[in-house]
Amino acid sequence: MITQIIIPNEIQEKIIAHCLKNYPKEACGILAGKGGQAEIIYPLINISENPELCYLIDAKEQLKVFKEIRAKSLEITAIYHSHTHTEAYPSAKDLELAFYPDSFYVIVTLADKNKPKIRAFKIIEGKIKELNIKEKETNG
Amino acid sequence: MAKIVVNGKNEELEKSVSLSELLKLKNIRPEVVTIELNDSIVERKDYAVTIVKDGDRLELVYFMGGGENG
Repeated sequence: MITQIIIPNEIQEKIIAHCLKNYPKEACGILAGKGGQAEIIYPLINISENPELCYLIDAKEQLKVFKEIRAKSLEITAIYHSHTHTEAYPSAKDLELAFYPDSFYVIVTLADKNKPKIRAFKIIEGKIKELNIKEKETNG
Repeated sequence: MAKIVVNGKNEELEKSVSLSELLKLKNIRPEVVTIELNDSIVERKDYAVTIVKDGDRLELVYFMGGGENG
């Protein structure tokens, strides 16, 4: 059973930097890797009409990234986005649009911009399970 | 028989079907996906009239969205 996602510190920093850069708009992107370990970050454009409260990844960009990930024989490890005013926990809309049960959902909160927090979840059939984020593979 | 490739994986259909029928076979709601057929995105209004034929390559992706207040 998967109990953790591995996101190297360098990638965590890039996620947070992307989210801060887009503030007060929500940022979004994809992490690619293998076996629950993120190796590559794809910061994407939020095309939502209401980007300060929601995110939507452009389908064309999504298709391009998916093909690139497949060409590298990697998987979609996680989909990340930021919450700029609320905690890093899946909203009702996040649950409604969680169509990738094999991937992790990583959420960054910028409710306190000076202390961004990053959390990871599995969302399967509307059920949320939080998982630990590790910087490197461990036995625990 | 129609041999197609969906998201890089080979699949076989008993016969040519429309994109609408294909989504039904896969139990996927059309309003939550984007479909690319042979490198061109198909508009949702055309799903019912677009036929998937032998040798076609499809990319089928679910929307990625959400946010703190949807």
